[in-house]
Amino acid sequence: MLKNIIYKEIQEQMISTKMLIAASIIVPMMIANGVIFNIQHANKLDKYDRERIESTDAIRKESSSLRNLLFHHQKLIKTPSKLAFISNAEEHVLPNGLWIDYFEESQPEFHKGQNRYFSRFSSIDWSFIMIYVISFICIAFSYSAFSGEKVKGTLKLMMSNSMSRGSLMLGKFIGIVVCITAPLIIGMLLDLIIIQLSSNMIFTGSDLWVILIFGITALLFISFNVLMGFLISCLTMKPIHSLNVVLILWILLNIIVPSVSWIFSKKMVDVPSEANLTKYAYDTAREENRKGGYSWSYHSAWQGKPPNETLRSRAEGIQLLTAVQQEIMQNYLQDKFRQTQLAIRLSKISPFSVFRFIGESLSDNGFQGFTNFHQQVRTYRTTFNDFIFQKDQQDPDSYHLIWNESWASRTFSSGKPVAFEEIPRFEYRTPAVSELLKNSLIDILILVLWNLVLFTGTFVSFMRYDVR
Amino acid sequence: MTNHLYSLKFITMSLFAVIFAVLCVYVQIMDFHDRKIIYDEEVVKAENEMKSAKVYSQVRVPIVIEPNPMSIFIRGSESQIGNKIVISPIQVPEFENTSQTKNAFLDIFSSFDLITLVQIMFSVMTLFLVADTIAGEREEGTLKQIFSNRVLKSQYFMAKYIGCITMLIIPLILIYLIASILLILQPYISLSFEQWMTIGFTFLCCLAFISIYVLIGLIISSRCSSSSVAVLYGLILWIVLVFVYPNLTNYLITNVIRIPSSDVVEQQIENMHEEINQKTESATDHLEDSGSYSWYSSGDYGIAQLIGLTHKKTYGVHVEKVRLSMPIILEGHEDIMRQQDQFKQQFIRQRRIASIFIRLLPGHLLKESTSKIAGTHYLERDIRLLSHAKRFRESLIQYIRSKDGFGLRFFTQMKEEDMRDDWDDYTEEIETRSSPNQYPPLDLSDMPTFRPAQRQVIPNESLVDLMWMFLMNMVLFIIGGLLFSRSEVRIMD
Repeated sequence: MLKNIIYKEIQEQMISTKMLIAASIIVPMMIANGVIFNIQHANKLDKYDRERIESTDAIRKESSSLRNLLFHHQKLIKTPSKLAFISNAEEHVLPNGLWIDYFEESQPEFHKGQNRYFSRFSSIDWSFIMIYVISFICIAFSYSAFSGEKVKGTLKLMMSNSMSRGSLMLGKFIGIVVCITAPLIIGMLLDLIIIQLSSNMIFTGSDLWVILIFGITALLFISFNVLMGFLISCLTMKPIHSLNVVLILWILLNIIVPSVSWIFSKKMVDVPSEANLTKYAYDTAREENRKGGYSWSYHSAWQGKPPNETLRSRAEGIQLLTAVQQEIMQNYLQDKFRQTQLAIRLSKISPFSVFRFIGESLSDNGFQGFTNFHQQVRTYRTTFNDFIFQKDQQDPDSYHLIWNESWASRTFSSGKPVAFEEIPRFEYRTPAVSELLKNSLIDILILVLWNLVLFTGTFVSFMRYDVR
Repeated sequence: MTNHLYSLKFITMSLFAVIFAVLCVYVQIMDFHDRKIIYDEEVVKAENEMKSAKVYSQVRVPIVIEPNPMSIFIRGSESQIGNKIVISPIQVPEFENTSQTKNAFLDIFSSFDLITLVQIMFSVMTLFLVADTIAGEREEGTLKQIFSNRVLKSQYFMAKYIGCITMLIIPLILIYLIASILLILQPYISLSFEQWMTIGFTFLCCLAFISIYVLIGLIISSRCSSSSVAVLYGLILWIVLVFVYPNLTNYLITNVIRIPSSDVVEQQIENMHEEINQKTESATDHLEDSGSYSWYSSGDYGIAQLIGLTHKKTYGVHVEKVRLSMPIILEGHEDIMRQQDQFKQQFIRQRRIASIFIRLLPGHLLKESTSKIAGTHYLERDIRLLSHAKRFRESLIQYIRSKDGFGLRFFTQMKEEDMRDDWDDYTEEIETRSSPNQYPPLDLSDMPTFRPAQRQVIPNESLVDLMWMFLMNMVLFIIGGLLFSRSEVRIMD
């Protein structure tokens, strides 16, 4: 009996106009995603490769002397994500790089083309298609599953047969999910073929695993939306009322909750303006310097000679100045991260946000991607600084006095050339599948929980539903 | 109309829209407050900066743009373009990347202004409420009863249209009323008469927008056999018009039509500055100074910014350096400004191409017309304001010239009669007076002040968008009327 219900549901939905409209929206959007992604990714990779070559050449040039390397600003940019077709993650509004040197690390910066005359828009990636199009289609298919059949009179006819309510519900659920998944899978496969045809893209085993995990999550998301439609359908008598309630819920969970969550995070975690904080950092650093009683004296005649106490005092004072400002600015960045993470957690009240951030985590993009990048930059900087320090220590001719004034301090550190191959270079490492899965596991479990709750709720409601 | 007014779906959707509107306006007011605080801090900084100028090389007029209260209604480009331009003879005027938001990472979340709320909520509400009006009456059989009397189809259609508009104007009025009350209650916002008029005009634009969707809803309703099918088609159309098509178009255009990256632009501008540096260096290469100063701070392009005590001849050398360098610098800046304009034209071109494809979308027309009326459009901020700032720079340069600010007074307050050829000839009193710490600030009370250009309440460029909205209404009304007049009043198979 269950098989018959599934077959009947699939047959009914497949030949409906709704299905035709759904397929004619989903498949072209997926194809468009593939085509645009190829163009976008090629451009991003091209720019990224040019930047890397420039950066490598600059390091090679500076390697002629360790003290040049000491003051060399390195611009580090996050590698464009190979899986951005899954979720572009509002990447165009997020910074994608920063610069570092031995002494400082900058705040995040934009190193990409941005047209500030464009009003905000979303990228047409798999996440967008799922969240705005597929979810709506799920509702369109499921809102009248029970209330619609009740109004037509077919529900009581079905129940007059020896069919359990559970089987009917399960059969309809499987049938609708299969119907919606079919054009989605076709679209995804076409999309992947188009992307694979590009010379820049070769999917590795890890990429395919990530795509599979996203596919499973997408199935959970479809299931959630269908069950939401089912539940409302079981709680109302007429399909128009079901549609009314489901639409309000969709707008609430998809648009309103994600748009207001960040307000509360702003109230709970206070972050000052950068201009204010830069001034505060400078004033605090100057005050610490003043308390330490460090000297500000410098004479050009000291160059090349062993550093005296006055010079050491100046160097220590400026090192302290830099260190205090850096600490304050890094804490400021961490506060921004905390505020954003809180906003993300609050927005996950909505399952639509949960799904959105699963996509971002899996594609190593968006805010999650940037924090991964930032962690790797910090690790690299520590390695780089240790390398510089060790090299300087190994030079018997160096006075081993390093401080952040390139015009004054050059002659007091090592000026020996450095083998280019020895210099640590930054290579962004895309997290392994296990790491990506670990980051998204809780969100996936939340989606599973939502499904279980809605399934149970629908089951209980349908058991008590008056089919006459 | 009364049936719909008392219907559950109208009440729930209107309540929803009003609650969400209150939230939106609250968020925008909070954000405006943050921007106002940053603005007030910048103004104090700017005033202190101006007061601290002791020589004409230090004269910098920071223009800080006050946040526009109309951005609470329509954000436009308000926070995408910077809010500070520094005007100085040796600096190219351009918006500084002053952050108006405290945490740029929160931009991953959408933030709705009132017009965006109207665009999203009212469009879906309109289609949802209107799409089943005619189809529903056809389904129930009341439509054929109506036409069994002497009622013209055109009269019926017009009546439906007016009834739906009247019904939907109620929540719109409520939203605007609540938004206005919330604005009045804020102590840091005071609106002029022109701004209230602007709010009124944006209300009319919203009405025109709702009217378009009412007509779309009526067209769908007149062609569909059942009310739920009509509503469903209406909602699918909504998804396409509000989410799918505009995002797809913008996404496509931004990836197909390339614009230079910020790094490339900055690099090119930096190269041009370097060129100016090289030209000023070679023009002043033959001039030698003694190299002895009690105080020396260098400015841009190798020109001294502030000099304490030095030999009389060295003062003369620096005056000559300024005289030779300034024309090169000003000409170089003209080239840089032309280059920047060329880059901007590429950005504008990309946007204009996108606009061609979304020109007829009601949401796009609403946003364009309201942002131009409110003064938050990029044309107003980036193009017009910046041009005005560049003209102000010309008047500032003239002012400094009139004060002989490009001579000795460019870098010192030392009087010529106090200058000596030999360092040993300087008395202690002159040495003390020559210290820049002792210099009083310049008297800039007669300096020209920057005043933003007067705006029209309805700028000319918004008239095009308003005209398009009016045309769309006319065309949809005619199409709707024609389609309905040919449709069946009985239940369709």
